[in-house]
Amino acid sequence: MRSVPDIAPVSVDTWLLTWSLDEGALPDAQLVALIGDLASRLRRQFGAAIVNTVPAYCSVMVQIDILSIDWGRVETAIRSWLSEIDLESDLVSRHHQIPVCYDPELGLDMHEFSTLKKLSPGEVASIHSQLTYTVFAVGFLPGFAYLGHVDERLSAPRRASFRATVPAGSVAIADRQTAIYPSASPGGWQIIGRAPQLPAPGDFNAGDTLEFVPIDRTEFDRLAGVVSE
Amino acid sequence: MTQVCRLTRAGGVVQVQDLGRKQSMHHGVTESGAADRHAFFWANRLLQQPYDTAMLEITVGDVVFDILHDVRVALTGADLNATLNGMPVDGWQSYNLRRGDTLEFGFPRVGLRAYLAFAGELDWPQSYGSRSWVEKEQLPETPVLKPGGGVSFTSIQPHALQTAVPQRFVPNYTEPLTLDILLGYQSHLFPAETIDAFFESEFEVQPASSRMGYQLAGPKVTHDIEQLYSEGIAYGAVQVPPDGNPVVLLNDRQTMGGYPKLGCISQRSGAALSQRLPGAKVRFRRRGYDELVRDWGGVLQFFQGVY
Repeated sequence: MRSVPDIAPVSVDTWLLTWSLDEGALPDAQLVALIGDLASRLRRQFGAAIVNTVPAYCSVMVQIDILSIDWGRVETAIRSWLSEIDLESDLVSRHHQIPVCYDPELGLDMHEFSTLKKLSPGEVASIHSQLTYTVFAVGFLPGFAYLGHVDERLSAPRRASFRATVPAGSVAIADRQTAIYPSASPGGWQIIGRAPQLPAPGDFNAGDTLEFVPIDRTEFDRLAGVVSE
Repeated sequence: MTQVCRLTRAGGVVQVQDLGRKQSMHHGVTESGAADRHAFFWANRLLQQPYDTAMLEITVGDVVFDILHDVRVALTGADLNATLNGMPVDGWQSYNLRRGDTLEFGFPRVGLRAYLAFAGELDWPQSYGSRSWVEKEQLPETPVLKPGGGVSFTSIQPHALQTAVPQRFVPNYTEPLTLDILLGYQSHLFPAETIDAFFESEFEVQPASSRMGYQLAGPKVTHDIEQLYSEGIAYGAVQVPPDGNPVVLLNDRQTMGGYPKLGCISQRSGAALSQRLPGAKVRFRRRGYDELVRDWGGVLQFFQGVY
Protein backbone atom coordinates (compact mmCIF):
# COMPACT_ATOMS: atom_id res chain seq x y z
CA MET A 1 0.00 0.00 0.00
CA ARG A 2 1.22 3.44 -0.87
CA SER A 3 2.42 5.77 1.86
CA VAL A 4 -0.14 7.26 4.21
CA PRO A 5 -1.16 10.85 3.47
CA ASP A 6 -0.28 13.82 5.60
CA ILE A 7 -3.57 14.94 7.23
CA ALA A 8 -3.88 18.50 8.55
CA PRO A 9 -6.63 21.04 9.18
CA VAL A 10 -6.60 24.11 6.93
CA SER A 11 -9.59 25.82 8.56
CA VAL A 12 -12.15 25.24 11.29
CA ASP A 13 -14.16 22.74 9.23
CA THR A 14 -11.76 21.68 6.48
CA TRP A 15 -8.91 19.16 6.31
CA LEU A 16 -6.38 18.49 3.60
CA LEU A 17 -4.99 15.02 2.88
CA THR A 18 -1.78 15.22 0.88
CA TRP A 19 0.25 12.41 -0.67
CA SER A 20 3.85 13.16 -1.55
CA LEU A 21 5.09 12.49 -5.07
CA ASP A 22 8.63 11.58 -6.03
CA GLU A 23 10.69 14.54 -7.13
CA GLY A 24 9.91 15.40 -10.75
CA ALA A 25 7.26 12.66 -11.08
CA LEU A 26 4.05 13.25 -13.02
CA PRO A 27 0.83 12.79 -11.03
CA ASP A 28 -0.01 9.15 -10.70
CA ALA A 29 -3.20 7.73 -12.30
CA GLN A 30 -3.61 5.06 -9.62
CA LEU A 31 -3.24 7.61 -6.83
CA VAL A 32 -5.90 9.88 -8.33
CA ALA A 33 -8.21 6.87 -8.77
CA LEU A 34 -7.69 6.22 -5.05
CA ILE A 35 -8.38 9.80 -3.96
CA GLY A 36 -11.41 10.15 -6.27
CA ASP A 37 -12.83 6.95 -4.83
CA LEU A 38 -12.05 8.02 -1.27
CA ALA A 39 -13.89 11.34 -1.77
CA SER A 40 -16.99 9.65 -3.17
CA ARG A 41 -16.96 7.05 -0.36
CA LEU A 42 -16.90 9.86 2.20
CA ARG A 43 -19.85 11.60 0.54
CA ARG A 44 -21.81 8.34 0.41
CA GLN A 45 -21.03 7.15 3.92
CA PHE A 46 -21.45 10.40 5.83
CA GLY A 47 -24.04 12.15 3.61
CA ALA A 48 -24.81 15.74 4.52
CA ALA A 49 -22.15 15.78 7.25
CA ILE A 50 -19.65 16.04 4.39
CA VAL A 51 -20.16 19.58 3.06
CA ASN A 52 -17.63 19.38 0.22
CA THR A 53 -14.77 17.33 -1.12
CA VAL A 54 -12.12 18.32 -3.65
CA PRO A 55 -10.01 15.40 -4.91
CA ALA A 56 -7.22 16.73 -7.15
CA TYR A 57 -3.87 15.28 -8.36
CA CYS A 58 -2.33 14.21 -5.06
CA SER A 59 -4.64 15.65 -2.41
CA VAL A 60 -8.21 15.57 -1.13
CA MET A 61 -9.80 18.50 0.65
CA VAL A 62 -12.64 17.49 2.97
CA GLN A 63 -15.05 20.00 4.51
CA ILE A 64 -17.40 18.76 7.24
CA ASP A 65 -20.40 20.10 9.15
CA ILE A 66 -18.72 20.55 12.53
CA LEU A 67 -22.03 20.47 14.40
CA SER A 68 -23.07 17.09 13.05
CA ILE A 69 -19.81 15.11 13.01
CA ASP A 70 -16.41 14.96 14.69
CA TRP A 71 -13.39 14.98 12.43
CA GLY A 72 -12.03 12.06 14.44
CA ARG A 73 -14.77 9.77 13.08
CA VAL A 74 -14.05 10.81 9.50
CA GLU A 75 -10.31 10.37 9.92
CA THR A 76 -10.76 6.92 11.45
CA ALA A 77 -12.88 5.87 8.46
CA ILE A 78 -10.28 7.26 6.04
CA ARG A 79 -7.40 5.46 7.75
CA SER A 80 -9.23 2.17 7.86
CA TRP A 81 -10.17 2.33 4.14
CA LEU A 82 -6.63 3.20 3.20
CA SER A 83 -5.26 0.26 5.13
CA GLU A 84 -7.79 -2.21 3.69
CA ILE A 85 -8.29 -1.05 0.14
CA ASP A 86 -7.10 -3.27 -2.72
CA LEU A 87 -5.96 -0.92 -5.46
CA GLU A 88 -6.42 -3.57 -8.15
CA SER A 89 -10.03 -4.48 -7.46
CA ASP A 90 -11.77 -2.05 -5.08
CA LEU A 91 -11.57 1.28 -6.85
CA VAL A 92 -14.74 2.50 -8.53
CA SER A 93 -14.34 4.81 -11.51
CA ARG A 94 -16.17 5.33 -14.77
CA HIS A 95 -14.89 5.25 -18.32
CA HIS A 96 -16.08 7.90 -20.79
CA GLN A 97 -15.97 7.94 -24.58
CA ILE A 98 -16.10 11.48 -25.96
CA PRO A 99 -16.67 12.06 -29.68
CA VAL A 100 -14.47 14.87 -30.96
CA CYS A 101 -14.11 16.48 -34.36
CA TYR A 102 -10.54 17.56 -35.18
CA ASP A 103 -11.57 19.69 -38.21
CA PRO A 104 -9.34 22.81 -38.10
CA GLU A 105 -12.48 24.94 -38.59
CA LEU A 106 -13.51 23.82 -35.09
CA GLY A 107 -10.08 23.20 -33.60
CA LEU A 108 -9.17 26.87 -33.81
CA ASP A 109 -5.44 26.41 -33.17
CA MET A 110 -5.01 23.18 -35.12
CA HIS A 111 -3.09 24.73 -38.05
CA GLU A 112 -0.72 26.68 -35.83
CA PHE A 113 -0.37 23.81 -33.38
CA SER A 114 0.39 21.11 -35.95
CA THR A 115 2.95 23.41 -37.62
CA LEU A 116 4.58 24.02 -34.25
CA LYS A 117 4.77 20.29 -33.56
CA LYS A 118 5.90 19.47 -37.13
CA LEU A 119 2.94 17.10 -37.58
CA SER A 120 -0.07 17.06 -39.89
CA PRO A 121 -3.52 17.80 -38.38
CA GLY A 122 -4.39 14.17 -39.06
CA GLU A 123 -1.37 12.99 -37.08
CA VAL A 124 -2.26 15.30 -34.18
CA ALA A 125 -5.80 13.86 -34.16
CA SER A 126 -4.54 10.32 -34.31
CA ILE A 127 -1.97 10.72 -31.51
CA HIS A 128 -4.45 12.61 -29.31
CA SER A 129 -7.19 10.00 -29.72
CA GLN A 130 -5.11 6.87 -29.25
CA LEU A 131 -4.44 7.18 -25.50
CA THR A 132 -6.71 6.59 -22.54
CA TYR A 133 -6.61 9.57 -20.19
CA THR A 134 -7.20 9.89 -16.47
CA VAL A 135 -9.24 12.70 -14.86
CA PHE A 136 -6.71 14.22 -12.44
CA ALA A 137 -9.04 16.93 -11.16
CA VAL A 138 -12.28 18.75 -11.93
CA GLY A 139 -12.21 22.52 -11.52
CA PHE A 140 -11.58 25.93 -13.11
CA LEU A 141 -15.11 25.78 -14.60
CA PRO A 142 -18.06 23.57 -13.59
CA GLY A 143 -17.35 20.20 -15.20
CA PHE A 144 -13.87 21.09 -16.53
CA ALA A 145 -11.76 17.93 -16.23
CA TYR A 146 -7.96 18.07 -16.24
CA LEU A 147 -6.89 15.00 -18.25
CA GLY A 148 -3.45 13.47 -18.50
CA HIS A 149 -1.00 12.61 -19.67
CA VAL A 150 -0.86 13.81 -23.25
CA ASP A 151 1.70 12.06 -25.49
CA GLU A 152 5.01 13.92 -25.35
CA ARG A 153 4.84 14.56 -29.10
CA LEU A 154 1.80 16.83 -28.45
CA SER A 155 3.09 18.60 -25.38
CA ALA A 156 2.98 22.36 -25.97
CA PRO A 157 2.89 25.43 -23.77
CA ARG A 158 -0.20 27.62 -23.44
CA ARG A 159 -0.79 30.17 -26.19
CA ALA A 160 1.24 33.38 -25.96
CA SER A 161 -1.99 35.37 -25.99
CA PHE A 162 -5.05 34.51 -23.99
CA ARG A 163 -8.20 33.90 -26.04
CA ALA A 164 -11.09 36.04 -24.75
CA THR A 165 -13.62 33.35 -25.63
CA VAL A 166 -12.86 29.68 -26.11
CA PRO A 167 -16.01 28.16 -27.66
CA ALA A 168 -17.91 25.65 -25.53
CA GLY A 169 -16.91 22.08 -26.37
CA SER A 170 -13.39 23.01 -27.44
CA VAL A 171 -10.84 20.25 -26.86
CA ALA A 172 -7.47 21.72 -25.96
CA ILE A 173 -3.93 20.95 -24.83
CA ALA A 174 -1.58 22.60 -22.34
CA ASP A 175 1.75 20.91 -21.54
CA ARG A 176 0.97 17.22 -20.84
CA GLN A 177 -2.70 17.97 -20.06
CA THR A 178 -5.82 18.03 -22.21
CA ALA A 179 -9.41 19.08 -21.50
CA ILE A 180 -12.87 19.78 -22.89
CA TYR A 181 -14.25 23.28 -22.22
CA PRO A 182 -17.78 22.57 -20.89
CA SER A 183 -18.86 26.18 -21.47
CA ALA A 184 -17.53 29.22 -23.30
CA SER A 185 -14.78 30.86 -21.27
CA PRO A 186 -11.57 32.84 -21.59
CA GLY A 187 -8.64 30.46 -21.92
CA GLY A 188 -5.07 30.03 -23.04
CA TRP A 189 -4.91 26.35 -24.02
CA GLN A 190 -4.19 25.21 -27.60
CA ILE A 191 -7.51 24.25 -29.22
CA ILE A 192 -7.26 21.21 -31.49
CA GLY A 193 -10.87 20.02 -31.80
CA ARG A 194 -14.43 20.29 -30.58
CA ALA A 195 -16.83 17.91 -28.87
CA PRO A 196 -20.40 18.06 -30.17
CA GLN A 197 -21.90 17.27 -26.76
CA LEU A 198 -21.05 19.51 -23.80
CA PRO A 199 -20.15 17.86 -20.52
CA ALA A 200 -22.46 18.69 -17.59
CA PRO A 201 -20.91 19.67 -14.24
CA GLY A 202 -21.49 16.22 -12.73
CA ASP A 203 -20.22 14.10 -15.63
CA PHE A 204 -16.60 13.64 -14.59
CA ASN A 205 -15.04 12.66 -11.29
CA ALA A 206 -11.37 12.56 -10.36
CA GLY A 207 -10.05 9.10 -11.14
CA ASP A 208 -12.39 8.44 -14.10
CA THR A 209 -10.84 7.43 -17.41
CA LEU A 210 -11.65 8.88 -20.79
CA GLU A 211 -10.89 8.37 -24.46
CA PHE A 212 -11.57 10.59 -27.45
CA VAL A 213 -13.35 9.08 -30.46
CA PRO A 214 -12.57 10.96 -33.70
CA ILE A 215 -15.61 11.92 -35.78
CA ASP A 216 -15.92 13.81 -39.06
CA ARG A 217 -17.67 17.11 -39.61
CA THR A 218 -20.93 15.53 -40.80
CA GLU A 219 -21.14 13.40 -37.67
CA PHE A 220 -20.26 16.42 -35.54
CA ASP A 221 -23.10 18.45 -37.06
CA ARG A 222 -25.51 15.57 -36.56
CA LEU A 223 -24.57 15.06 -32.90
CA ALA A 224 -24.45 18.80 -32.21
CA GLY A 225 -27.92 19.15 -33.73
CA VAL A 226 -26.76 21.51 -36.47
CA VAL A 227 -29.37 21.56 -39.24
CA SER A 228 -27.79 21.83 -42.69
CA GLU A 229 -29.27 24.46 -45.00
CA MET B 1 -47.12 31.17 -3.61
CA THR B 2 -47.36 34.95 -3.39
CA GLN B 3 -45.45 37.65 -5.20
CA VAL B 4 -44.19 39.86 -2.40
CA CYS B 5 -42.03 42.44 -4.12
CA ARG B 6 -40.72 43.54 -7.47
CA LEU B 7 -37.22 44.79 -8.15
CA THR B 8 -37.72 48.02 -10.10
CA ARG B 9 -34.16 49.33 -10.18
CA ALA B 10 -30.85 47.56 -9.74
CA GLY B 11 -27.87 49.88 -10.09
CA GLY B 12 -25.89 47.68 -7.72
CA VAL B 13 -26.11 43.91 -7.43
CA VAL B 14 -29.04 41.98 -5.94
CA GLN B 15 -28.50 38.25 -5.45
CA VAL B 16 -30.44 35.48 -3.79
CA GLN B 17 -28.08 33.94 -1.22
CA ASP B 18 -28.20 31.25 1.42
CA LEU B 19 -25.40 29.26 3.06
CA GLY B 20 -24.12 27.96 -0.28
CA ARG B 21 -23.87 24.76 -2.28
CA LYS B 22 -23.20 21.36 -0.71
CA GLN B 23 -21.13 18.63 -2.35
CA SER B 24 -20.62 20.74 -5.47
CA MET B 25 -16.90 21.47 -5.38
CA HIS B 26 -15.76 18.09 -6.72
CA HIS B 27 -17.66 19.04 -9.89
CA GLY B 28 -15.79 22.33 -10.09
CA VAL B 29 -18.88 24.23 -8.87
CA THR B 30 -18.03 26.84 -6.26
CA GLU B 31 -19.51 26.94 -2.74
CA SER B 32 -20.98 30.48 -2.97
CA GLY B 33 -23.39 31.61 -0.21
CA ALA B 34 -23.89 34.85 1.74
CA ALA B 35 -20.63 36.80 1.96
CA ASP B 36 -21.34 38.15 5.46
CA ARG B 37 -22.70 35.23 7.49
CA HIS B 38 -22.88 37.29 10.67
CA ALA B 39 -25.35 39.72 9.07
CA PHE B 40 -27.11 36.83 7.29
CA PHE B 41 -27.66 34.83 10.50
CA TRP B 42 -28.94 37.86 12.41
CA ALA B 43 -31.47 38.75 9.67
CA ASN B 44 -33.07 35.31 10.00
CA ARG B 45 -32.86 35.47 13.79
CA LEU B 46 -34.79 38.76 13.78
CA LEU B 47 -37.60 36.99 11.91
CA GLN B 48 -37.48 33.90 14.17
CA GLN B 49 -36.93 31.61 11.19
CA PRO B 50 -34.37 28.87 10.39
CA TYR B 51 -30.85 30.28 10.30
CA ASP B 52 -30.19 29.14 6.74
CA THR B 53 -33.31 30.64 5.08
CA ALA B 54 -32.45 32.27 1.72
CA MET B 55 -32.60 36.07 1.46
CA LEU B 56 -31.38 38.90 -0.76
CA GLU B 57 -27.80 40.16 -0.63
CA ILE B 58 -27.60 43.75 -1.89
CA THR B 59 -24.11 44.91 -2.87
CA VAL B 60 -23.33 48.64 -3.21
CA GLY B 61 -27.02 49.62 -3.40
CA ASP B 62 -28.93 51.93 -5.78
CA VAL B 63 -31.78 49.41 -5.67
CA VAL B 64 -35.56 49.89 -5.42
CA PHE B 65 -38.23 47.37 -4.44
CA ASP B 66 -41.99 47.85 -4.82
CA ILE B 67 -43.76 45.93 -2.10
CA LEU B 68 -46.76 44.00 -3.49
CA HIS B 69 -47.98 42.15 -0.39
CA ASP B 70 -47.91 42.78 3.37
CA VAL B 71 -44.73 41.18 4.67
CA ARG B 72 -42.32 41.21 7.57
CA VAL B 73 -38.68 41.85 6.68
CA ALA B 74 -35.36 42.22 8.46
CA LEU B 75 -32.51 44.43 7.36
CA THR B 76 -28.90 43.83 8.46
CA GLY B 77 -25.36 44.33 7.19
CA ALA B 78 -24.15 47.48 5.47
CA ASP B 79 -25.85 50.85 5.87
CA LEU B 80 -26.79 51.60 2.25
CA ASN B 81 -28.91 54.65 3.14
CA ALA B 82 -32.13 52.64 3.03
CA THR B 83 -35.47 54.47 2.99
CA LEU B 84 -39.04 53.26 3.33
CA ASN B 85 -41.44 55.51 1.39
CA GLY B 86 -38.72 58.16 1.46
CA MET B 87 -38.11 58.01 5.24
CA PRO B 88 -34.73 56.70 6.48
CA VAL B 89 -34.80 53.25 8.12
CA ASP B 90 -32.14 51.83 10.43
CA GLY B 91 -30.52 48.48 9.88
CA TRP B 92 -30.31 45.49 12.26
CA GLN B 93 -34.08 45.60 12.79
CA SER B 94 -37.24 43.98 11.49
CA TYR B 95 -40.03 45.96 9.84
CA ASN B 96 -43.63 45.30 8.87
CA LEU B 97 -44.03 46.38 5.25
CA ARG B 98 -47.37 47.00 3.53
CA ARG B 99 -48.56 46.52 0.01
CA GLY B 100 -47.77 49.73 -1.89
CA ASP B 101 -44.63 50.59 0.12
CA THR B 102 -41.39 51.46 -1.66
CA LEU B 103 -38.12 50.22 -0.13
CA GLU B 104 -35.10 51.94 -1.57
CA PHE B 105 -31.35 51.50 -1.06
CA GLY B 106 -29.00 54.39 -1.84
CA PHE B 107 -25.21 54.21 -1.84
CA PRO B 108 -22.99 52.82 0.93
CA ARG B 109 -22.62 54.93 4.05
CA VAL B 110 -20.94 52.19 6.07
CA GLY B 111 -20.07 48.70 4.72
CA LEU B 112 -20.74 47.20 1.31
CA ARG B 113 -23.41 44.45 1.49
CA ALA B 114 -26.88 44.69 3.02
CA TYR B 115 -29.10 41.68 3.77
CA LEU B 116 -32.85 41.85 3.23
CA ALA B 117 -34.66 38.84 4.67
CA PHE B 118 -38.37 38.11 4.34
CA ALA B 119 -40.49 36.13 6.80
CA GLY B 120 -41.27 33.24 4.52
CA GLU B 121 -39.67 30.81 2.15
CA LEU B 122 -38.37 32.12 -1.16
CA ASP B 123 -39.81 30.43 -4.21
CA TRP B 124 -36.55 30.04 -6.12
CA PRO B 125 -34.95 27.00 -7.76
CA GLN B 126 -32.07 25.20 -6.07
CA SER B 127 -28.85 23.76 -7.38
CA TYR B 128 -26.68 21.53 -5.15
CA GLY B 129 -29.08 22.26 -2.28
CA SER B 130 -28.69 26.03 -2.61
CA ARG B 131 -30.42 29.03 -4.14
CA SER B 132 -27.20 31.03 -4.30
CA TRP B 133 -26.27 32.55 -7.62
CA VAL B 134 -22.77 32.92 -9.04
CA GLU B 135 -22.29 35.31 -11.92
CA LYS B 136 -19.40 33.51 -13.62
CA GLU B 137 -20.99 30.05 -13.52
CA GLN B 138 -24.43 30.72 -14.94
CA LEU B 139 -25.75 27.32 -13.99
CA PRO B 140 -28.97 27.06 -16.01
CA GLU B 141 -31.06 26.16 -12.98
CA THR B 142 -30.22 29.31 -11.02
CA PRO B 143 -31.97 32.34 -12.53
CA VAL B 144 -30.87 35.96 -12.16
CA LEU B 145 -32.95 38.58 -10.41
CA LYS B 146 -33.24 41.47 -12.88
CA PRO B 147 -35.11 44.79 -12.81
CA GLY B 148 -38.78 44.10 -13.38
CA GLY B 149 -38.41 40.66 -11.81
CA GLY B 150 -40.67 39.60 -8.97
CA VAL B 151 -39.76 37.71 -5.82
CA SER B 152 -42.32 35.19 -4.60
CA PHE B 153 -42.64 33.40 -1.30
CA THR B 154 -44.51 30.51 0.21
CA SER B 155 -45.71 30.40 3.82
CA ILE B 156 -45.46 34.15 4.43
CA GLN B 157 -45.54 34.92 8.14
CA PRO B 158 -47.88 37.63 9.43
CA HIS B 159 -46.77 40.93 10.88
CA ALA B 160 -45.29 40.76 14.37
CA LEU B 161 -43.61 43.03 16.88
CA GLN B 162 -40.52 44.81 15.64
CA THR B 163 -37.27 43.21 16.78
CA ALA B 164 -33.74 44.62 16.86
CA VAL B 165 -30.27 43.15 17.21
CA PRO B 166 -28.67 44.06 20.58
CA GLN B 167 -26.22 46.89 19.99
CA ARG B 168 -23.21 44.88 21.14
CA PHE B 169 -23.66 42.45 18.23
CA VAL B 170 -23.82 45.21 15.61
CA PRO B 171 -20.39 45.37 13.98
CA ASN B 172 -18.56 48.55 13.11
CA TYR B 173 -17.39 48.14 9.52
CA THR B 174 -15.20 51.25 9.64
CA GLU B 175 -12.84 50.19 12.42
CA PRO B 176 -9.41 48.74 11.53
CA LEU B 177 -9.80 45.03 10.93
CA THR B 178 -7.65 42.22 12.30
CA LEU B 179 -8.20 38.91 10.53
CA ASP B 180 -7.83 35.68 12.52
CA ILE B 181 -5.79 33.18 10.55
CA LEU B 182 -5.06 29.51 11.14
CA LEU B 183 -1.69 28.76 9.59
CA GLY B 184 -1.87 25.69 7.34
CA TYR B 185 -1.46 24.49 3.76
CA GLN B 186 2.12 25.41 2.78
CA SER B 187 2.81 27.85 5.65
CA HIS B 188 5.72 25.63 6.76
CA LEU B 189 7.41 26.23 3.38
CA PHE B 190 7.48 30.02 3.81
CA PRO B 191 10.65 31.44 5.38
CA ALA B 192 10.22 32.22 9.10
CA GLU B 193 11.15 35.88 8.50
CA THR B 194 8.40 36.13 5.90
CA ILE B 195 5.81 34.80 8.36
CA ASP B 196 7.01 37.21 11.07
CA ALA B 197 6.88 40.14 8.64
CA PHE B 198 3.42 39.06 7.46
CA PHE B 199 2.03 39.33 11.01
CA GLU B 200 3.67 42.73 11.53
CA SER B 201 2.42 44.20 8.26
CA GLU B 202 -0.63 46.24 7.43
CA PHE B 203 -2.34 45.55 4.10
CA GLU B 204 -4.78 47.58 2.06
CA VAL B 205 -7.90 46.21 0.30
CA GLN B 206 -7.52 46.69 -3.47
CA PRO B 207 -10.24 47.72 -5.96
CA ALA B 208 -10.22 44.33 -7.75
CA SER B 209 -11.78 42.69 -4.66
CA SER B 210 -15.05 40.79 -5.01
CA ARG B 211 -17.09 37.91 -3.64
CA MET B 212 -14.47 35.66 -5.25
CA GLY B 213 -11.55 37.06 -3.35
CA TYR B 214 -10.09 40.12 -1.67
CA GLN B 215 -6.85 41.37 -3.17
CA LEU B 216 -4.49 42.91 -0.64
CA ALA B 217 -1.42 45.08 -1.11
CA GLY B 218 1.30 45.95 1.37
CA PRO B 219 4.80 44.76 2.13
CA LYS B 220 5.49 41.86 -0.26
CA VAL B 221 5.11 38.36 1.17
CA THR B 222 8.21 36.77 -0.32
CA HIS B 223 8.89 33.08 -0.89
CA ASP B 224 10.51 30.86 -3.47
CA ILE B 225 8.04 27.99 -3.28
CA GLU B 226 7.61 26.35 -6.69
CA GLN B 227 4.27 26.01 -8.43
CA LEU B 228 2.38 23.14 -6.84
CA TYR B 229 -0.14 20.70 -8.16
CA SER B 230 -3.53 22.33 -7.76
CA GLU B 231 -5.41 21.43 -4.60
CA GLY B 232 -8.80 22.26 -3.08
CA ILE B 233 -9.20 25.83 -1.82
CA ALA B 234 -11.05 26.23 1.47
CA TYR B 235 -13.05 29.33 2.42
CA GLY B 236 -10.76 32.10 3.65
CA ALA B 237 -7.58 30.67 2.11
CA VAL B 238 -4.78 33.23 1.90
CA GLN B 239 -2.84 32.51 -1.28
CA VAL B 240 0.37 34.24 -2.24
CA PRO B 241 1.07 34.46 -5.99
CA PRO B 242 4.62 35.16 -7.19
CA ASP B 243 4.04 38.96 -7.01
CA GLY B 244 3.87 38.66 -3.19
CA ASN B 245 0.45 40.30 -2.82
CA PRO B 246 -1.83 38.06 -0.75
CA VAL B 247 -5.35 37.22 -1.93
CA VAL B 248 -8.02 36.10 0.55
CA LEU B 249 -10.38 33.69 -1.22
CA LEU B 250 -14.03 33.96 -0.25
CA ASN B 251 -17.41 32.47 -1.20
CA ASP B 252 -17.22 32.51 -5.01
CA ARG B 253 -13.57 31.37 -5.11
CA GLN B 254 -12.30 28.89 -7.65
CA THR B 255 -12.57 25.34 -6.28
CA MET B 256 -8.85 24.57 -6.67
CA GLY B 257 -5.59 26.34 -7.32
CA GLY B 258 -1.86 25.86 -7.22
CA TYR B 259 -0.45 29.03 -5.63
CA PRO B 260 1.17 28.56 -2.22
CA LYS B 261 -1.21 29.27 0.66
CA LEU B 262 -0.46 30.43 4.20
CA GLY B 263 -3.66 29.13 5.80
CA CYS B 264 -7.25 30.30 6.13
CA ILE B 265 -8.90 33.24 7.87
CA SER B 266 -11.91 32.43 10.05
CA GLN B 267 -15.53 32.61 8.92
CA ARG B 268 -16.07 35.53 11.27
CA SER B 269 -13.09 37.42 9.84
CA GLY B 270 -14.19 36.68 6.27
CA ALA B 271 -17.64 38.07 7.01
CA ALA B 272 -16.13 41.30 8.35
CA LEU B 273 -13.68 41.53 5.42
CA SER B 274 -16.49 41.21 2.86
CA GLN B 275 -17.97 44.47 4.20
CA ARG B 276 -14.74 46.41 3.57
CA LEU B 277 -14.33 48.77 0.65
CA PRO B 278 -11.11 49.32 -1.31
CA GLY B 279 -8.64 51.32 0.79
CA ALA B 280 -9.61 49.63 4.08
CA LYS B 281 -6.65 48.52 6.25
CA VAL B 282 -6.29 44.97 7.52
CA ARG B 283 -3.81 43.01 9.61
CA PHE B 284 -3.53 39.31 10.44
CA ARG B 285 -3.44 37.62 13.85
CA ARG B 286 -2.41 34.00 14.37
CA ARG B 287 -5.02 31.85 16.11
CA GLY B 288 -5.05 28.21 17.18
CA TYR B 289 -7.35 25.53 15.81
CA ASP B 290 -9.09 24.76 19.12
CA GLU B 291 -10.03 28.36 19.93
CA LEU B 292 -11.33 28.92 16.39
CA VAL B 293 -13.49 25.78 16.58
CA ARG B 294 -14.91 26.84 19.96
CA ASP B 295 -15.64 30.28 18.60
CA TRP B 296 -17.33 29.29 15.32
CA GLY B 297 -19.05 26.24 16.85
CA GLY B 298 -20.55 28.59 19.43
CA VAL B 299 -21.81 30.96 16.74
CA LEU B 300 -23.43 28.11 14.78
CA GLN B 301 -25.02 26.63 17.90
CA PHE B 302 -26.46 30.00 18.88
CA PHE B 303 -28.08 30.60 15.50
CA GLN B 304 -29.14 26.99 14.85
CA GLY B 305 -30.78 26.85 18.25
CA VAL B 306 -34.35 27.67 19.17
CA TYR B 307 -35.67 30.50 17.05
